[in-house]
Amino acid sequence: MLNTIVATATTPSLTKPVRVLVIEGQALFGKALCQVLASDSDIEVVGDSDCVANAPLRRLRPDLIVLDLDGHNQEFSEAMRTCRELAPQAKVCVLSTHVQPEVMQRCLSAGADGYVVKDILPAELMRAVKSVASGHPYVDPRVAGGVLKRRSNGFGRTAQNELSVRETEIIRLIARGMSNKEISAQLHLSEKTVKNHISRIFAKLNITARTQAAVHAIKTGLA
Amino acid sequence: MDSYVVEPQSLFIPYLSDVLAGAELRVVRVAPTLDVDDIRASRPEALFVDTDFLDVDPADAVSAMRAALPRAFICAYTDRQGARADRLRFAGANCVLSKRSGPGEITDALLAARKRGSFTDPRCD
Repeated sequence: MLNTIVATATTPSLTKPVRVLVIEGQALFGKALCQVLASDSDIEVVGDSDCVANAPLRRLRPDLIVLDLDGHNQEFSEAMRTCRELAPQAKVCVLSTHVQPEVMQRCLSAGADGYVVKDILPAELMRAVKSVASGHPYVDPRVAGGVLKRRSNGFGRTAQNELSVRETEIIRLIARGMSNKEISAQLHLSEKTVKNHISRIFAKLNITARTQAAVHAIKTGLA
Repeated sequence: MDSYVVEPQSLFIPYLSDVLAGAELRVVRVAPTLDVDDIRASRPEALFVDTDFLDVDPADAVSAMRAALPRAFICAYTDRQGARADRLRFAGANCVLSKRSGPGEITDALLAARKRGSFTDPRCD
């Protein structure tokens, strides 16, 4: 995986414009994205859509799909499968609000060729798009830095503050607004056990409130 | 209305500014993160905040903005389904907009909110 964690410093030269399809759930952001991309003569925006299901992938035959991670109703891996099936020639560059390495790794594991965070600057976005289109994987340097930091802490070992499977289940349910009683019923655990798990979650995440846990779950893509 | 935008997606700002201009909101300042002191010092007439990127609970953020500027028009912009628009309204938001909305819908919603005092996109409830 390490060889994919690369943010290229130079912009690859392209012989013809990259045909880009934008799939972005946030309508305004999608339009803004098309406008920014179309301002580069090396890029041709061939279309935009609010989700993979509505995108005319076969007809447009894009070289590259800029795919919003957060905005579609289906699982990301399913969206990737659809892209691969209907546009096998296309590279996929994911656009995400998440800077957490685990979210990026899930995307790359599902087959994405690039991963950029939505607060990216226009010039860097162009660089990312051209890089991915010419076959060089691209990952936002901040996210790649997070992966390397985790590796230096001991790859393959569970970090002290990493949530267990059970704790992950519980934080997801907290993010859905469920009470301890409802969580205990759902997971067939006693309320006391749920409370203990929540205390450990709070300690690991260094937080003090359920709202903070819910925000963490949403930001890290757990909920 | 002079408007302050809290939005970290910088490539989005020029397009967003054009859309807001359609609702007579003139962007005079943009910040990537919530800075209540800066908001208070800037004294805008309107605030447009993307609540999906905040480090704090969105309702708490709106509440802090309302406390800083009691008379400002506050618009929360969100992509979270079930964003608990009721909490955002209770905290002081005049308008809760969904990121699913196109430019025309956003303009119409902002104009409606300014005219009627409030507007909530049903997708955010």
